[in-house]
Amino acid sequence: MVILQVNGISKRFGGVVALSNVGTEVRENSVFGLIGPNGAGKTTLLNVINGFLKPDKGDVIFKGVKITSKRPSKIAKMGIGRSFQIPRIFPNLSIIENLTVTGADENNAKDILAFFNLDKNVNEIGKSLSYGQRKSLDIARALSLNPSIMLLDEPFAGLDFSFIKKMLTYIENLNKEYKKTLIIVEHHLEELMSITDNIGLMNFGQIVAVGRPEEIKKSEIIKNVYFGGI
Amino acid sequence: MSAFKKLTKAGSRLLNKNQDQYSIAGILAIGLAFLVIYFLLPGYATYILMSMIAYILFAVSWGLLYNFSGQLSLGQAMPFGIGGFISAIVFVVFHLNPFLCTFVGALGGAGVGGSIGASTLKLKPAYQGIALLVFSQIFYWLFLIWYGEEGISFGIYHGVMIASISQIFYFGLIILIISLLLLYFFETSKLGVKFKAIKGDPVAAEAIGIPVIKYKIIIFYISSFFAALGGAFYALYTFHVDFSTFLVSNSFLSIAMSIVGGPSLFGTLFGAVLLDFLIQTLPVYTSLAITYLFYGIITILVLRFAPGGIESLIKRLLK
Repeated sequence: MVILQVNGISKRFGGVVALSNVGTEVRENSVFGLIGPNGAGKTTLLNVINGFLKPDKGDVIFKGVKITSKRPSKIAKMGIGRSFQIPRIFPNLSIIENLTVTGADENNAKDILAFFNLDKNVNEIGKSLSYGQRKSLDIARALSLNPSIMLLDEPFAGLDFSFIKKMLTYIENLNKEYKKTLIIVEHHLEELMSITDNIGLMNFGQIVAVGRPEEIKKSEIIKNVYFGGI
Repeated sequence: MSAFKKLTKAGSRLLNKNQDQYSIAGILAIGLAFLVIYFLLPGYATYILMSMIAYILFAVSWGLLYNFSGQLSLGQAMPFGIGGFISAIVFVVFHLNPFLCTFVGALGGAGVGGSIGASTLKLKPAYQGIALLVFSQIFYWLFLIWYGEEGISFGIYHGVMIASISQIFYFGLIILIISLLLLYFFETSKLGVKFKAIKGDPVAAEAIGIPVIKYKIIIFYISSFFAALGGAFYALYTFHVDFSTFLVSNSFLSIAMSIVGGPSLFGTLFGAVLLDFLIQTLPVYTSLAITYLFYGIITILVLRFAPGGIESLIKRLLK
């Protein structure tokens, strides 16, 4: 069943075309990866989906409901959670409060923190965490909303190899254990392709190819996008 | 380990164990301290205590805005002054009970201050602060033009005081204790945590379902209510209100009180008591200029050496 549809989304910033007639769909309980060079429009697309940006044209349909003109807070409550490329935790709140502030009860919050190995000092304030832990907390907080879809913006960015492996396990389990539909923007292609069902390849504000990871990997188009220009 | 360190560690553990009980006891102890001073030192001390009540409410109102939702007001004297003027005008026009007029003034100040504040929400903090400063100066001139330098008397009818000083003091003490308890419960409530999240990162707060704009509007009305309550009480115990309540220095005083004391409710309360005590007592011994110089130096020293206020110094000591 299709849980999210993006239909003909266009977005300009002044003279720059950030998204041009972008359309795709994401199936429930699947993992959809978005790849592409810097400036391809991946994060802009996430921002349109969760309501941070209003598109100039096109619609976002979530569970059959048009959410294009809704506020991000409303969209979050409808069931779309997100994390950020640079983690945006609440540094002035305790680790547990970073989760309970979403409305999650304390036991559920503790379970989620344990899942992300953040349950040691839950009463410490957020800014005491390392960068990797902040990335985990950012995703944990999105999970505490109990969303149907989670938008993860570059979850591996800035992490060392061992933490990437950990993060990979967390993300796999978000899908398998917590049954979340995931849309992941990422530059670490190998890691991303190991956990995704489908990949959307973006370039110059358009989705130029969609397919299974192995198909995208073997296609000429990915070489052109990353190495040859299209 | 020294006895002092042991004592401070024990104190710290005690505070963490049952913070709610101790905080509530702390608020009640402040009320008790005010009562004891009132009985032991009548006369000018009562005036200082009433001034402290007004300025504690004023300072915590600014702290509510900045420390809870990251909004900056450089014109907090606006709701403070409007609260005073509305209560005095209602008294003069309708001859209502002055205590009732104080609440009418607080509600009126909340309405005007909150609505004006809400109109500045989309501005960045520095510009928002300046916009509110300008609004407070507009009211300064309006009330100077409308009521002249002498302003309006409040609580006096045909030359007779409607309420005695002791009645006014008890009334002030009651509204202070109730306000502090309400603010404490608000600060530690789930709603309070949501406001702190907005201050921490408004973008992330919106992404987890907190309607940031709506909450920022709400906090403006709440903050304006307490500022106006302080202003109305100020008008009540001084028996008059004039344009000078809108002075820039008055707005900055609420900020300095929060900075010197610290961002929490108790920190701001402490800062208000300390600075108000200095401002009320030093002019007895020296000039007003020296008094304000002294208060300026304290504020700068705290900003330089304890950016988290005196509260942060105490916390460091207890660690």
